[in-house]
Amino acid sequence: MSHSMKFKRRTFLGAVGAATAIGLAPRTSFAQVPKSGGDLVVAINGASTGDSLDPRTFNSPFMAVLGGTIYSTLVETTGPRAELQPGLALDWEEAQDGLVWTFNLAPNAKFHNGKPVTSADVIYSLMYHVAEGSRSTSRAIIKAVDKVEADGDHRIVVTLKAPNFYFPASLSNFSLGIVPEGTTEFTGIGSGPYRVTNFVPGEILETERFDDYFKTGKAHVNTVTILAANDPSARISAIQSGQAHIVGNLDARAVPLLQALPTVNLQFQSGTGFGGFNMMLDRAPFDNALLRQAMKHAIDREDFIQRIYGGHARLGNDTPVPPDAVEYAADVVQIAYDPDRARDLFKQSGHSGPIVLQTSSATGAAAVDAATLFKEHASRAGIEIEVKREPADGYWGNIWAQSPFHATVWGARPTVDLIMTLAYSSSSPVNDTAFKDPDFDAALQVARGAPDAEERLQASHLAQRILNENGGAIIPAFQNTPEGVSTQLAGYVTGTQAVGSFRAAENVWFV
Amino acid sequence: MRHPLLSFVIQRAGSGLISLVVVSVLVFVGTAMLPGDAAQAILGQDATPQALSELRQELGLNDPLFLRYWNWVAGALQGDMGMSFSSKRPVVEVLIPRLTNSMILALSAAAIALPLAIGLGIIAALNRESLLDRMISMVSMWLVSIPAFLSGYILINIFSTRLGWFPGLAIIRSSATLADWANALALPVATLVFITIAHTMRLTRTAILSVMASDYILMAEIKGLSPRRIVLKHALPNALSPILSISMLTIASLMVGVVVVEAVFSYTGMGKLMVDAVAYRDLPLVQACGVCFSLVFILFNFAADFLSILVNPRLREPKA
Repeated sequence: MSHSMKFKRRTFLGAVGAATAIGLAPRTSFAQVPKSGGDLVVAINGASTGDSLDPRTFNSPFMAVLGGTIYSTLVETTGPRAELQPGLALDWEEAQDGLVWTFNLAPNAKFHNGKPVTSADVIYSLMYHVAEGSRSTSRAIIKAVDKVEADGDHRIVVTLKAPNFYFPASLSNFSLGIVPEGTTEFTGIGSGPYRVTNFVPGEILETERFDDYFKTGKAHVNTVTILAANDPSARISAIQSGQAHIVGNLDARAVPLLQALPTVNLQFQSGTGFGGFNMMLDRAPFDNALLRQAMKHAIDREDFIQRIYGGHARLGNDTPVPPDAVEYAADVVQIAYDPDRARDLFKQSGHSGPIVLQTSSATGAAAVDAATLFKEHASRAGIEIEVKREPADGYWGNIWAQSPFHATVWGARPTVDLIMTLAYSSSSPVNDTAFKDPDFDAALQVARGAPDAEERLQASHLAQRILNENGGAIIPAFQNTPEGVSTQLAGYVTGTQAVGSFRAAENVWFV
Repeated sequence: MRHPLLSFVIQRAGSGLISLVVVSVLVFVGTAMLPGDAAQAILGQDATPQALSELRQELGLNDPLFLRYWNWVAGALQGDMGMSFSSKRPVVEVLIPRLTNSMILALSAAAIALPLAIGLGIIAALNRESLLDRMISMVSMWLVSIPAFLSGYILINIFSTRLGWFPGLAIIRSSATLADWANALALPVATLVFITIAHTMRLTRTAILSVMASDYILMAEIKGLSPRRIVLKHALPNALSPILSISMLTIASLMVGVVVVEAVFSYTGMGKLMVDAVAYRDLPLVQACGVCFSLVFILFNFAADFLSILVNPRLREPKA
């Protein structure tokens, strides 16, 4: 229990799920006029005593939801397909084939301290993430920026180091909230729909409606409270008892229990987060391509979805792209469970003896169950897996990306490009499987920077094919993470990330 | 010895100090022995070798263990408990609100559990071997044998989920009134009462019964006093010293034993703070929590002995 209290950025996930889910049925969300008033309570995990209101330090679901409540990003995503929508930037356009991006800012936007939001504030806030000593989760995004210039008070022009058509989408990342220029002491002054009245790290955030919020027809409830509920059972009891109106990242095993409750609308959030298994390509035994193929065919993905995620997941094909993503390469053959083939491949590989799979609750609550299930599947192909449970403490430092075969987890990222680049490009410092493939790197470049949309898509498909055939990651499924929404609420839009892609606070109202 | 009480206090202060030093060394070494360090814990999966070495430098983790401990002691002696690695705030600033929360929880539980347990113990002693006595013993033993996390969840299930009377998450808002506090603390306090009541109750009962076996009670009985008067006026004052001892120890164990209950109810006290701090390898904070916990135990132990001497004139005199 204690280990789950501090969520690493990637564990964060984890918990994010599927695109098949639809937001609340239209009958509840759109058929009525929003009503003002009421006190909204959200419960979410990942809070820590070490939390700070500095967006650069955000690395947990709790702080991401907090960010979506008090800060604004330039671009936002909404709905189960993560469609882009205006945030502080009302619109944006590219020039020079995706190298230069112009963002027009909302002219009426104000910070909680009454100051207007200007280009200077935006430039400061973005570049702050690559300042000396920054360990921001958005560092990789802003590092791709060559320069940012103000064109008047409400327009910025961003020149990238290389063309990237995913750039606007990546600006929706939860840690890219805009703060006033020169802020070094972070007290929560942002331009978001609610302003901080009380923040106790690791415990609670209390806010009240910000009357000068720049969006119209949003922010209906009077106050928003976010409770730190790191314990999975505490989150279940919070939504069961009605103590919280929205509870994110619920345990998949509690789904039948929660579905039976008349007071809870159970939602399934889609997303690109996933848990999987890493076979390290740069060392024995998985420098052996045949052995990798054997393992990929030795896992029953359908059974995995049923048993680990209670049926609420989408099939994975050993790439970080879920089947409902726009970029998904449908022409890459889905790897299926085939014990006979796996047995043959295993024999051909020349490897013998048991293979140790190291796992830990650091990669998710169901990590040990998942490894044990894989072991069962593989044993039917005559492959012996020995599951070794490691302590969550030190897992990322001592096991992950170090031992030959281990469990991993990746949280949802704003774009498919970002997760492929971070996890599998040759130069990434957090490369998951020591996967280094120049063709793959080249394909990623084209997939994000080619002027022609179709060309970009084809390149993305190629990258997925390379990863599927040669990669070391086994990605069996993408979870559709359950979240509970009280039936007292309307206007909730299920997103690809927790709590309505972190922005439920400004959308919902009490019926 | 002219002032037995004074020499007792001095003796106890000395041994308490030694215990504190030993605990601080153990916590320091123990935390250092865990796999991973603060730099790894903070960076998590982003721990590139360069970032790691930078952060270690920044946090002073490259110094030898002995030097780090010495620096910590030197600071602590001047009242500087250091900065928390994770929140970059002074440790004391992080610790005090959490300590206050834990004390509120533990003392509320003690305020209910102790009178209840002592009362039940007296009733049980008064009705020795009766059905009532056995019932009291059975129920309290039954409650103490359920682990705190289980009784906590059972209470949540009944009173929060089903009946909706009390919140399952004991999180206090800034605007909380006394009633809000009581409401939020109801279930955690009940859980703590369950796990502490049996010890105190049984000890009270035993203490009174052992006094009841002495000659002067027989004398009182022969005088024809009512059992009630015998117990309350003659037995209880003489049984007071063990009862006070156990009460103090109960409060101490409540203070340090709230960890599980805090986790179950998401209540932000010292226990949760220390667990977070260990997960983060936030050494200054872990140290401070360890010292704080041992200080609580030492102080209440001291209070237990001190009070039992105070209420028992015989212990006040030096032995011949």
